[in-house]
Amino acid sequence: MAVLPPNVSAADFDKALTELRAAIGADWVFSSDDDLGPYRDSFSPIWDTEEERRAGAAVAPADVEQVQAIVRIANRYLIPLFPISTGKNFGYGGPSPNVSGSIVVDLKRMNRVLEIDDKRHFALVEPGVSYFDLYRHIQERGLKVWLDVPDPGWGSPLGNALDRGVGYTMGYYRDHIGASCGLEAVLPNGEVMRTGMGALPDSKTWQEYRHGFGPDPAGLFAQGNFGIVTKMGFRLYPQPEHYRTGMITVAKRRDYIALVEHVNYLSDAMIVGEAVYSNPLAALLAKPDFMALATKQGGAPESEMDAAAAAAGLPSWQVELQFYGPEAACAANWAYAKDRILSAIPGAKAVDGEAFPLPATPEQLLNTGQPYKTHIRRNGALGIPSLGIWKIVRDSGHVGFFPVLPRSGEAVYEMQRVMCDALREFPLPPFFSAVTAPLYWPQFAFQMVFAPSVKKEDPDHNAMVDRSMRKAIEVAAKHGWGDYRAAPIYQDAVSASYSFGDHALRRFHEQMKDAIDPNGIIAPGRGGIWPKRFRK
Amino acid sequence: MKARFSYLSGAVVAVAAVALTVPLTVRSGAAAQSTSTPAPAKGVAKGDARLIAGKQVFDKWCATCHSSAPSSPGTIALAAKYEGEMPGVLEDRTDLTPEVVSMFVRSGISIMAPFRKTEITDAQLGDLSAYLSAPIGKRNAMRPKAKPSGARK
Amino acid sequence: MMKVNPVLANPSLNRRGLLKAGGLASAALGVSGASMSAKAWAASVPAIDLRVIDQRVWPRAADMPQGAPLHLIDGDVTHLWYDTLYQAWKKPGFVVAGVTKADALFVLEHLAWDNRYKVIERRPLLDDDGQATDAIQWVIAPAHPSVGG
Repeated sequence: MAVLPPNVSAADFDKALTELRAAIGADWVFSSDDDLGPYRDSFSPIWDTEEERRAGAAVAPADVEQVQAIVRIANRYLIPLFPISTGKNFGYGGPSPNVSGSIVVDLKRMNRVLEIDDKRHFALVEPGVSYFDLYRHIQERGLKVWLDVPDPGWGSPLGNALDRGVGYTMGYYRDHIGASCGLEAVLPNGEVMRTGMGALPDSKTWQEYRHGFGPDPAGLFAQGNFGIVTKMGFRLYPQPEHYRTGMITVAKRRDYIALVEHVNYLSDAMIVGEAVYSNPLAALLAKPDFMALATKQGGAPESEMDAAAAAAGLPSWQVELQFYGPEAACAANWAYAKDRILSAIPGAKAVDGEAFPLPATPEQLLNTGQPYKTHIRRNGALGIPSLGIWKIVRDSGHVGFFPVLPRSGEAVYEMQRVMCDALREFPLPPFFSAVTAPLYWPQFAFQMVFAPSVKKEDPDHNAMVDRSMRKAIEVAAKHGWGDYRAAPIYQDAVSASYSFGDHALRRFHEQMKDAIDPNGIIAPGRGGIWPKRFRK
Repeated sequence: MKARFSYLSGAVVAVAAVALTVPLTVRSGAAAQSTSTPAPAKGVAKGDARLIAGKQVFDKWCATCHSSAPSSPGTIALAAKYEGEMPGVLEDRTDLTPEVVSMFVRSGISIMAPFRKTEITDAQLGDLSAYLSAPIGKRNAMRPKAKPSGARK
Repeated sequence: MMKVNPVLANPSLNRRGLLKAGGLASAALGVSGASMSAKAWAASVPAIDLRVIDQRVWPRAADMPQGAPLHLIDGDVTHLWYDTLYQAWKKPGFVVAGVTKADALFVLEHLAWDNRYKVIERRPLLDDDGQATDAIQWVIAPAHPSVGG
């Protein structure tokens, strides 16, 4: 039995489906339970409960005109629409809507690469183009541009950017919404709008100057609900000639603070790509004594961590650096990085990694040639989409909380300590401990990961996970750390934590939502933005 | 007037005096060499505090174009205008009155844009005017000694 | 008349039986429990086009009998997807059968949905004692008119 959206009768919903079939073809309107299975969130911690967010139907338009027709029909019947590009946003809700009964607008059929240029380094794509599609398009034509892909890479550049996804190459490109350049959206009233230079008819620079003239509303469409994005441009990294890696280790726990400062410099000066931090002592967590130390209430004393490192003969921290560019530049930049850090931090050591011309060979992509245990995702680091990450997904998936923190050793230690203590009550693996390394996925900030697994057959476990997620959001916010991205069931809680000025930002969004989408039909609740008729 | 004097509280004077020891913000290297401001002479009279403040305003807002450096555009323009009848360097002038200074600062002239009160407050304008109309000897005591910059003949 | 693939239709079959039965491709598909559209498809396209073996659960893939092409994976389906299924699923009527862990099937199932294919058969692989293992035997077939489903 189909789930109906709030305040919509079964008769009206059926009428809307009839109109939708006429508009886009009966084969592309899905309403049976069987057909709607793929629009459920496979990772949902509230799977098969009353609260699970389930689509009422799904439609798959072929082009922008059909998207416009869908929007107009939804307006007539006040039915919420939930657009997805490829629906691969697992851990953040997958293809499932914020409001049960919504009609998912599945844009997978709009899968054209509209333009790609390896002289001016950009692409213009439709929502259904996956990273694999775009990668194949580039390979088949021998184009000299790279993608920056998330892991796994089966989602779409457009959808990933609109949820502010991240990747693994150079900083500018890792921030996928930041590296976007102009978009087209069907607005809630059915009009088509283009941002930036795209607003200028016959513009020649849509993907080269994102701002155009006047305010640029492109950012409103990321984690927002102001329209259905139907085209998006991206800046592409010119294919580098060479790749090199190297690892730096530091002896003492306190040395990490200086190490981070140096790596910040290397990163912000665009000398290195993603710097991959890891803590060699994580290998000791299997020992109960060390586990107790690393998760000690109030934080592990520095002296005891240093003693544990010395006893194990391990460095306290390590970072893997990655260099892209001309061969000589890669070598010179690595030499510079080594000299800079080793001359400043007593006891720091450098280990040469690999160096090879690009594109990499299949053997190099396996990432087995590093002379040390590596944490680099080699495919991602080289802009190649992969599905291999699925091998590490536990249970029935997971939910994700990724608080953003400053790039400093002190901040890392504070988050380790605060979040470890805050989540101690939950029977989960220690996501936060004295050996938790920050992720350097955003260009200018760190993140840490809290991604407890979900078990479809164990509602009690899932309820515990849900409580832990809500506590993590709350405790982090109290310390000035915000989540960057959330599943629909957590978007209100995360949005509420961005409360400066008595929730001025949320009220600003609500006012715009009411003005632009008075019927509240586009993804109500997405990003914590509820249209008037849904607000309590 | 009361407000103006309250601006010259001891703390502000101290700040101004310290700031005078810092090299000027100027655009050309040549100017930087010739206009580095010396520390005020020891025992600057309390009555001179206002002139110190005025010199500070001059250095921040006027010197970029009106320094004694040959490349200073305001100095070049004034030298061209007066053809040697008067110094091109504003700080060498002895004919300026507070009213004239105020008029040019607030109204601008030629390519010199008028200065808004958010840039130079009325109180600061008073200090600047006092400085530029003060006896030349007092002004020279606050200026770099190495560069006697008379009118260009 | 549809023949029955004992491997995929008989839940009591064990690992030894899998080999004895002649492999996944030796018979046409059984579709018990499959949807109407899958049945309609099965009547017209009775052959399996590709066999996928996850070596983590079936390391003896080299012993598999002749039949449809074999694609061996170690859990990562990237190459299976990129080199084979990406194109095969753009055309109508391609049928894949496999024995994999659940993680690999999860990925393949979602990719199948993107292409209007779906899992029409899904059973746990039993060990020699008849106990369910963590391996799944499955068949993915077209599920939409656009791909012959």
